[in-house]
Amino acid sequence: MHKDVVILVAEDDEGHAGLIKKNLGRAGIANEVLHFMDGQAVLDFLFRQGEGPHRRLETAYVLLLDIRMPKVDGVEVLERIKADPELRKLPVIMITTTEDPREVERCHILGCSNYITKPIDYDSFVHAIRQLGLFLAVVQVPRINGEREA
Amino acid sequence: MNENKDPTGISAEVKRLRARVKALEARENREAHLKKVLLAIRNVNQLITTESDAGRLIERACVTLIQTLGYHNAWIALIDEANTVIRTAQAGFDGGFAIMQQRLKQGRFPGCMRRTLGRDRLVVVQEPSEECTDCPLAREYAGRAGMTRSLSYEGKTYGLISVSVPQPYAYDAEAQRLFAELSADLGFALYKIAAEARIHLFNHIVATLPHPIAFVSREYRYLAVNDAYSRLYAIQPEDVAGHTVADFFGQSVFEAEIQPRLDRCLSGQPLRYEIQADFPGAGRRWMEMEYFPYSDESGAIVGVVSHGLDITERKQAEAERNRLNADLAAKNAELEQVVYVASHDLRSPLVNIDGYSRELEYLLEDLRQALSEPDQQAALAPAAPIIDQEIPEAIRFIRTSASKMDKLLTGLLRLSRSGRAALNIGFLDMNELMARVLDSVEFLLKEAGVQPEPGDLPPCCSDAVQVNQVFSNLLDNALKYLDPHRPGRIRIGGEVQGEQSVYWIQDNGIGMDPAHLEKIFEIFHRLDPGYGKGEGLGLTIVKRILDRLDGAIQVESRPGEGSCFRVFLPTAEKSER
Repeated sequence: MHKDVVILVAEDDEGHAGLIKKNLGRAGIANEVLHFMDGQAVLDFLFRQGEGPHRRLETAYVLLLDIRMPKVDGVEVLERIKADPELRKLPVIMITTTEDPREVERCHILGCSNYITKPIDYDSFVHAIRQLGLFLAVVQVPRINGEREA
Repeated sequence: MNENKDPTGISAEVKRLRARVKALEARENREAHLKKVLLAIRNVNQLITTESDAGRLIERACVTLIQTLGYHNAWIALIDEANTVIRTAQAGFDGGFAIMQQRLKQGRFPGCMRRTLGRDRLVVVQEPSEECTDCPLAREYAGRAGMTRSLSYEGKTYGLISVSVPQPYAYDAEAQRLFAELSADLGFALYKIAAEARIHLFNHIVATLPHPIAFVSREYRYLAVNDAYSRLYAIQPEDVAGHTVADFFGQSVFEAEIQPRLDRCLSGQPLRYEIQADFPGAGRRWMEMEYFPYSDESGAIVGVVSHGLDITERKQAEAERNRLNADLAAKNAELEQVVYVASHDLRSPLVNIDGYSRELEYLLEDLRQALSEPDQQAALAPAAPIIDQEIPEAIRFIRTSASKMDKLLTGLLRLSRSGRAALNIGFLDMNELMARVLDSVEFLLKEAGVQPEPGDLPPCCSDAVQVNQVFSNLLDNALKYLDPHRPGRIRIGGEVQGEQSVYWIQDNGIGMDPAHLEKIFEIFHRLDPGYGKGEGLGLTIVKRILDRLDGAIQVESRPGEGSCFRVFLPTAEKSER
């Protein structure tokens, strides 16, 4: 993965976000990581709306998306992203505690790129994030153009 | 002719005239007799039109018949289908009839009666006082002839009549014809009385039925309604008779709801429907209505008989049951949701608890490295037990607990999911199913040196996936709790017991104290947490599955000897219905 790719983490649990960041670093992923505390914040960023930070045009992003979040949950975020002609190119990797097969199926139908369950056992967690890091290191991520800046 | 003895011929003329007078007298007598008989018949006919009781009819008929002296005495006996005499009447006999009556009751019928019954013909005995020596009435005939005929109508015999007449008329064609007419009239009267009694009986039955009943003609006119119908609509039966159904319910209701159903029924198709309506005499009720085509004797459908059955209570019970079921389903769904959300949301903090505990371990390791520098060692020696033992121990407790809670939550999730799985109930070949279960644990069986050889297992009616889970769990338990100090043995068998197929898995494992058997199906209950792995859910899931499948489970066990689990499932017959 190119160094310019920005990793977006939508995760309401700061602890989880911290552990994810820490272990991605251990896996050798040094890319910029932006953390969002709920679904609305990440949507505002991606759709360039609201007061918070907005995504940059002509930039490649990867979204690590939790499901259970305040305001807008991850499934809806996924749905909105995949319904947008431009943003749909954004790779979305679900990282969540639920391993309910129906949830897994739903997210894949909606078009998520991957679905990872957060193991509670930390050694497994570390292993999973390390795998994710190794995976991210080799994937190609498209740039997202969006509208031209005025 | 001898002219000499009667030269003038007067004597012959006198003789002739006498003979003529005699003949004229005889003719007059005959005509007088026939007149009397005719009068008797007319009187009896009058009686027939007014009398509605068979017993009174025959009594008054006998009296009327002899009053005119058309007949000198008369007796009538009524019989039933089995030719048993049920009623008698007489007139003109002095006392002999008491004996006759007794004999008739005993079934000892006189000759004239035996010859009459079942035949539509006249029996004449010219001189009963001489011919019928056995008859208790014989003497009373006193030189008159006896005429006997059955009282019948359309092939059915209701009894017989016997009268006495002067001998000359017993063979007179006109007198015989009149007697035949008389007995036919009486036969018809008896038929009519019996028919009216039947109609009265049926009317009574219909009237007293608790179900509202109405008869409606092809022209949608009420022919009759019963008492229950009148009560239901708070009307008098005579208020509806002759009126149309539309008069009663209004044209629009009739055309929209009633007429199509009546037409279907009039085309020969009985039908049934349920309806809720406000009835003036009963308030708001649910009725189950049934329409039957009503055919006349020729088989043509001439109307509809409608029956109503008040099913309000049943409907209320059904509604209550549905409400409770819906409540229960909602509660269950809520519970599932609570379990699901709780087990999911509770896992999130666990990720942090375990994660940061582990991070602490890493940090501690770093710290230990830093402190192991020679120049630091002495100064920080007092802290060594804290760093080397106490903190690691605290972290170990935290992580063990997190892991345990994770297992409990995973178990809760599994349990909640097992209750949601859709069932696919059908015929189950249990030999095949058990073979698959054994295949899946083949490795464990080999390891334990156990060779369960299930005999021929009867099939059952259930869900293959769920039943597989039941026996996998039970077999898993049997293997897990084998006694390591002796060779393991597991037996599997089954048989049909009444409406249930029973299967057992018996082991010679460590067994359980009977006092604890109640608890083994409880969620997360582990009798012996130190023994083997597990989350204490296997038997809870088994019990839950069997509850859903209309099955059951029983267990017998002795510590040190082993356990036997018996699983009950519906027999395969249920699946073939």
